[in-house]
Amino acid sequence: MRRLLDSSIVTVLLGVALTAALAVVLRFAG
Amino acid sequence: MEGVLFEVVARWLHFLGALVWIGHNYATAVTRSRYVPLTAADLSDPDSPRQRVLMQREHGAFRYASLVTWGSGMLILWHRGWLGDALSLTGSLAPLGLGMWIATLMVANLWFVLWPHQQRVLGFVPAPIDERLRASRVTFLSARVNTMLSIPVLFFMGAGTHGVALFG
Repeated sequence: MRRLLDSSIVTVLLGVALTAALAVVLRFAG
Repeated sequence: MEGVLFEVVARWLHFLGALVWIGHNYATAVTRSRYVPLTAADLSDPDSPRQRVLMQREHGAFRYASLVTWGSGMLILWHRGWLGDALSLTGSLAPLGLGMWIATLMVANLWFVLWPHQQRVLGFVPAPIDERLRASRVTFLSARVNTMLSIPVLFFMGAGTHGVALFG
């Protein structure tokens, strides 16, 4: 887990996943 | 005319501030794609190579750039009469408002989580070595959280003006 969080790629992937999740929430629940 | 000039200058400051601030995060994420944690030896010797690199890095401009970015963003919203709807995530301002709230969290993370811990890592605030090592992990994770949060912020900033149809 610690090694995973140390990777920049994981940071970017988490950011993209968060963006998609928030966009879906905003689109369908907003 | 004054209104247009105000808007242009505020937007310019918003872009400039964001580039200086988030540029720091992105530069680190690219140049250090895998973080190597500090060790007790790095911190106990003020002349250790890693501590020298740490001390030579810039520690002020990006923090103040975050305030310029946040403040100019708020001024733009206020100037357009959008602040209330953005804050309350109302109607077509919901996407931009969401970006604004996430960016506000980022500023708080920088000033209230990262900076107090960074002061311990650098020795600006005296602390034992194990405390400084723990603080260095917190600063790393805090910076990475802001890098991650900048991705949805950029999306919702863009969506705020150009993506209205997406969120109908």
